[in-house]
Amino acid sequence: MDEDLRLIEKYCSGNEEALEELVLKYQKQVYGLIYRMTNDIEEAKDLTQKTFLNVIKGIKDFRRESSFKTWLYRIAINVGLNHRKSRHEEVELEELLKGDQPGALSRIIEKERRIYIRKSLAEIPERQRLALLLRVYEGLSLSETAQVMGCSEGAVKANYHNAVKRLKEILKVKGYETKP
Amino acid sequence: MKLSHDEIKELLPDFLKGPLPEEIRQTLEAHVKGCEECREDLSIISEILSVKVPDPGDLFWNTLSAKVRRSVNEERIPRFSMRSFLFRPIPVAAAIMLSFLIIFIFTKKNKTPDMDPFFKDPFSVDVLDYSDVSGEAIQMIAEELIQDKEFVHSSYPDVLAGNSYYRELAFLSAEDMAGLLAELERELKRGG
Repeated sequence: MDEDLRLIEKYCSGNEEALEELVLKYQKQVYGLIYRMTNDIEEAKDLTQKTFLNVIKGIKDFRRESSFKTWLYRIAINVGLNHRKSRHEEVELEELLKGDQPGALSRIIEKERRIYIRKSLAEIPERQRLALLLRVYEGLSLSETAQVMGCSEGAVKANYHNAVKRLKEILKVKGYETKP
Repeated sequence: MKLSHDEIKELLPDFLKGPLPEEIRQTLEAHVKGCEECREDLSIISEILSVKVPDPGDLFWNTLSAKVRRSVNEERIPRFSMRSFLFRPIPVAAAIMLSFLIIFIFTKKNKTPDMDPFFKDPFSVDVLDYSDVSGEAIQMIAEELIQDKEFVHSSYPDVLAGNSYYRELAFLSAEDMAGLLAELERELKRGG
């Protein structure tokens, strides 16, 4: 039996240590995914906890049709998307730069570069961004990404390629040249 | 190994993230060298990957599972919820019936025949105050009634025609009046 399924069975039969093992195994991946959706450490921390809470609440409904990881990512994405819907403010460049130590010019330039990319990522449509995040950051396969997003592999491919294309266009418009 | 342009584009994230089989890696590298579009895509993906996720710290990692477990246990403690209460018909029906019962008991309790003294019988012993009536006064009233019986009958026929105490007294015989007098005197002695 798959390791994750074994832990789920153990938890469902009353072994709370199994829950701890599951959380420890996936906490960094869930946090990373949510952070890339929110760009805020505190929000990412809260939403990571909320994701695992939702996982536990719905664990009896987990039908084992997909892998636990795929199911977990789907929950994390829903938590992140619901949070984004309730939050409308934009993170400003100055805000993101706030807190930098003076003198470290290279660090500021580096941070600015990351901000451009983050902001560019925020400009692409939601499903395209999700396809990109899951494929690039999380390293999910096409079929896994399709399961997480609840669509076909063809749709994932289209969303992913459109995201890369759109990102290139945005960065060019902003005068940020990629280095092929 | 032969891979199409589209297949290679699909493999670009994997190329940057982790080890690929040597044969695939070589094919991919050869293709990227000659394909500007794939080079641009590779550059974009590598830029995206360069945006690191800040580490929230060991405290967060070490306490997350405990926090999740605590939250789960807290939610297991049954708490009163109006929503869940309303969706349970038996408790709702029981609560409504109990409310009606309480209202019924209270309203019945308050319906005691406690009438306003104003509407009480004005000649009731509870209402009339005889404390200022002396024994002489009672005797005088009785004698006057005996003497004036004929006069009252002739002078106030309309009063006597009604259903009043005067009418009852007016029709008493002399013996009855004497008996009434004796009774009133006895009551007076008893303090009534």
